[in-house]
Amino acid sequence: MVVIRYFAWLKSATGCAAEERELPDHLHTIQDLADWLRTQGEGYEKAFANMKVLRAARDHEYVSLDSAIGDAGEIAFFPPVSGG
Amino acid sequence: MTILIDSAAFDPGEELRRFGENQSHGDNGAGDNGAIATFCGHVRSQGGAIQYMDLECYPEMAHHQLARLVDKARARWKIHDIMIRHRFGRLFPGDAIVFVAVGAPHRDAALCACQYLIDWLKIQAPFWKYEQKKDGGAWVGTRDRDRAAAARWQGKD
Repeated sequence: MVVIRYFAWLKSATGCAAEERELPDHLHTIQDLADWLRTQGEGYEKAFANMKVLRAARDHEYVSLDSAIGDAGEIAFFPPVSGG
Repeated sequence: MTILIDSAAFDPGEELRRFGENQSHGDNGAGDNGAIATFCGHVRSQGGAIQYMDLECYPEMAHHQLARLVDKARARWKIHDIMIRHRFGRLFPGDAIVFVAVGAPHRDAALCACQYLIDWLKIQAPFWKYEQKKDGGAWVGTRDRDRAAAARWQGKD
């Protein structure tokens, strides 16, 4: 099981801030996960429509889309940040 | 080192006073600070257009990323102590969003480290602003000038 978290407009699109998911075995990379999530409903389709505007983190570290999911406990998707 | 991320309003003057007090009485080279540099970011009204701002945060990741930035700054400059405070939740024009303080023996280390920290925070710390104006709201993305500001430090780590 992996916790998947969404922030900013991705949270609005998916309709949830966090969810626990059992991932299918064929998912290896963060991109695979995003492609799979895109099929999980209309909101998810919208959230993952353009990967260029998304950032991903695995266990609180930024990762590229071709990174392995590995033994991640938490994966997050969000738009480029705007704090400070 | 102090990293504080919460929704409570804070007074930058009070933060500075407390930071200075810890510096002169604490064990981080008591009384040996020749310089304290600070940065405080506030919500801009943008000519009265902004009604309020909702600042969302990924707290666990923000702590992790900011702690790493602090380590990098410490490795680069001679610093006694660092404090970073960042708010989330609903903020109004004039409210303080972020406060960074660096205590060091000399001003060059304090000033450079302070700018380094805020420049990297702007593009790496997971916070997102949602600006509410009279005619609607919108998420704010990373600004090109913030990316450029952080890029100036690259290759010098």
